[in-house]
Amino acid sequence: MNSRFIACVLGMMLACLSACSEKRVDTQWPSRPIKVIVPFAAGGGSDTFARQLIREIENEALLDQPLVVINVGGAGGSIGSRRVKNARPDGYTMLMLHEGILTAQYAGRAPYGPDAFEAVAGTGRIDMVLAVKDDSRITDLKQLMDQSAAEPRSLSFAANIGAPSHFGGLMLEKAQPGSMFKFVQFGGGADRFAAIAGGHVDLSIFSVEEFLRYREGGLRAVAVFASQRHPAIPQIPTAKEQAYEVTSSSMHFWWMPKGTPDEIQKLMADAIEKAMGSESMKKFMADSWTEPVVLRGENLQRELDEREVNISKVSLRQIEVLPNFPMWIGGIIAILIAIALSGHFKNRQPDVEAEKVFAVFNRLSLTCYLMTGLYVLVLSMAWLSYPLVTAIYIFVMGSLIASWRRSAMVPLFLMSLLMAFGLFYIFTNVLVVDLPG
Amino acid sequence: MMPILEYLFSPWTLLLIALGTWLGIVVGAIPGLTGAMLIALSLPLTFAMEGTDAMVLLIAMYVGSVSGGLITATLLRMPGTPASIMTTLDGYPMAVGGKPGRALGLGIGASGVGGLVSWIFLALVAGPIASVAHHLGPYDFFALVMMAMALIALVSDSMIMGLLSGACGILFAMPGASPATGDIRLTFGFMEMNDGFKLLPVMIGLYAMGEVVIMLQGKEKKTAAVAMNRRGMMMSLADWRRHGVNLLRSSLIGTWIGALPGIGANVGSVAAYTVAKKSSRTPEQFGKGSEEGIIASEAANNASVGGALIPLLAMGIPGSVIDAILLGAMVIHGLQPGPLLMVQNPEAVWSLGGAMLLANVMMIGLMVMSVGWLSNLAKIPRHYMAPAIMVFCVIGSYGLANRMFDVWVMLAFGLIGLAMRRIKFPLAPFIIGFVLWPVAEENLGAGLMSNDGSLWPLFTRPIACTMIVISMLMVLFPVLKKLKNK
Repeated sequence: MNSRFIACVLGMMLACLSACSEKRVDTQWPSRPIKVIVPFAAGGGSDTFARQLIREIENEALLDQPLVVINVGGAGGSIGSRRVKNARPDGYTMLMLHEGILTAQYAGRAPYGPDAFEAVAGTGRIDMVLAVKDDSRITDLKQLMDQSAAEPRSLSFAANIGAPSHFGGLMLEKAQPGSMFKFVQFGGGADRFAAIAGGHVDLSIFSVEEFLRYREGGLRAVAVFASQRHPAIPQIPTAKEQAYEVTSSSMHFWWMPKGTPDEIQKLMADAIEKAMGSESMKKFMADSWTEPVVLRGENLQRELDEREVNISKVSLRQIEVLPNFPMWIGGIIAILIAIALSGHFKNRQPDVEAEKVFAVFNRLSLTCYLMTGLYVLVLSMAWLSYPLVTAIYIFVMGSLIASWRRSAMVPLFLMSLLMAFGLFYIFTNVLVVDLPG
Repeated sequence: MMPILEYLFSPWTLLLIALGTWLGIVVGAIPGLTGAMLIALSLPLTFAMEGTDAMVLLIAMYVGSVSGGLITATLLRMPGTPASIMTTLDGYPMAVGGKPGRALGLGIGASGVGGLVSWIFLALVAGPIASVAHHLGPYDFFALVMMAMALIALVSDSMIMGLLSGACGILFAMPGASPATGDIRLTFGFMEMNDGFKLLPVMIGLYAMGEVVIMLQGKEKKTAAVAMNRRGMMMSLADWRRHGVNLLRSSLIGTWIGALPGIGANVGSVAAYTVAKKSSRTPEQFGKGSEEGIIASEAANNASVGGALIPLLAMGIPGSVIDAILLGAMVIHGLQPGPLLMVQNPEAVWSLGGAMLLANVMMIGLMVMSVGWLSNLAKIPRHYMAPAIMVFCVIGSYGLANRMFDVWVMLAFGLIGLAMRRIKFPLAPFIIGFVLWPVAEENLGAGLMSNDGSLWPLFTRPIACTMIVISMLMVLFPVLKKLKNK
């Protein structure tokens, strides 16, 4: 180990410590980076939109501090939204989630809705299109709805059950008394397209961008669920023109935890509005067929209320055709265990020592496993900062395995510092992961 | 075609492939570290990368990790990965007999050929399979997944244990939102469970963390290393002619076994070795330093990589445990696996296929260059290795969705994995059941919803019916055979 290497390690430590010490109580918002929780995986539509808008805010220097996207995906957005709901209302945590926040509440997937947040802004409207297979007999919305009313459940509708696409279908159903679709679960736009193209369902709902992408593959639009015809497909009439009052669109809403000061909300909304007006953001939205709308204040509240009214009008039907899968699998496991045990007892081998079967650990590995548990506990309770607790963990565990041999301790010490601070640096600064502790 | 080649031969992609292959070889060469561990732990580091770049890197790691094991298998008699267990049987005796260079050369050459043959199959077959799979309806897809699960149970040592393990995997895939209706189930009131258990923490727990605990059990192993020399490392034309049949046969066996769901390089290598021994003119040489043995084992284990990519890229069904992680990686990076991937994103698919070929070529060069010091890697003491891997396990599980819940899941599955190993409960069916069940349930759910809950189409649709019959036969045949023998 030469001195230059040690100097390197110490330098890195200092850099990290100074980065940590920036977390001070602030008087002027924003004084530290703002976390934007996108409750979906990286690379999807929501994520791309959020990242693009944030890039604009940074390019135009609209806020003094950077915004950092954190993807907390899962359960249709409710894992991420719950985190923001429970976050401190200090203006440093924000959520971007579309109308899924409403549908999750009305489908019973989340016990809270928009009321649990402060709505900061609504940006970018994506219009929806109702489409059928290109060789379908159905040519217009009237014909479709009449068939659905004459023979309820004769038309099957691909939707992500409990998500906005499902509610879109339910609202359409509601527009003509007696009509009823048979909803079939197909997750994303690609799956819904495949289901239509393969002839497994009759119709589904797509965003304009999705429709344009799959049109060549065999889709035909029946109606646009917007107040006006869409410039990308001007030949397709709206539902309203065909005498059905149905609008369905998707919009990215920005939320802050309940109780966030009004001035902070206003500053944030200003920044979002200005970024939405920038040339490159406009181009980005034009390319993805997103309407460059910005809503805030009263307009935003009106939009949200309107959406809530529309969604609350329809009700989900219980899906009764599915077996209780957990029960079936549990039953199968029970039967298999019974067979395995009966076989085991029939040709029992004397060399199987019962007590040894459960001895998964020896003393060293048990200590290390428990130590890892303690390490995770300290991290999740945020008792110590990540680099510190990690360095201690590596050093103690390494020394324990090396039975506190003197010769191993110096390299272990250096390794623990290098790894702990190196990982901290890479994860927080390069990968922008919000580390625990 | 041009953009794919341009992409593959851009300096950044080549760098990624070289890096991935090299890391794979290093990890493959170190006993106790496996490719599954490397890929599961590297996945969080790729979150910030472009989807295709990340997949190219991971596939290169896959190729490298299957190959690296032969170095330690030959020089130290410790299989660096389970895939090269068969190589120790002949590689080590040959090295002790004074021909370490020759043993390594044969292994490396055979690995390269195996990779090449399986790549040709990947390139020829994946497209047609995808276009057929494209027309499969929900019931057909469900039947296909069931067949895959029956198959993986079949190749386990005890079929009943295999089925049980697969069913347990399914059970652990249940909590959270149902893939068919989105209803939340089996969360026992924990909001954190709404998203269920994610594949990455489960894999890290079962494989990476479990391996570390095993590393800490027992004493540190001391090994007698054979001194390395490079004589005879290059295979001559005569060698190629002499071993041509064996090479081709072993590669084909490896490709085929790799393509079957759930079983990968380990089984492929054993099967090819057994066949090579049976059809050899000098079977008595096997286990004492037979050239044919090394070639069979190494050609087959590398061929299984390409084979396993066929169902993954064409249908979204993983061909091995590592492919199950790759499947998760594709979802994370926005490449929706399934038959549609080939239609929607052909560039990505062929870039991945091309990366596998390039990784194989680079593997040969990297292995030949670094053979000497790689064998020293196996001597890194465990008190450096174990804490470092554990820290990666924790940060990797956390990085998936930025939540500590996943880390606790990882710790719990580490324990489950240890218990499973202890009672000789096979792990592979568990993982395959865990990964495939959501696909199965979503498809069965879609089918039932559009047919008012009728299961009949499973038997009236020709494709679905054929696959259901095949899977039933696979499960019942061994039972009947056993009864007959009594």
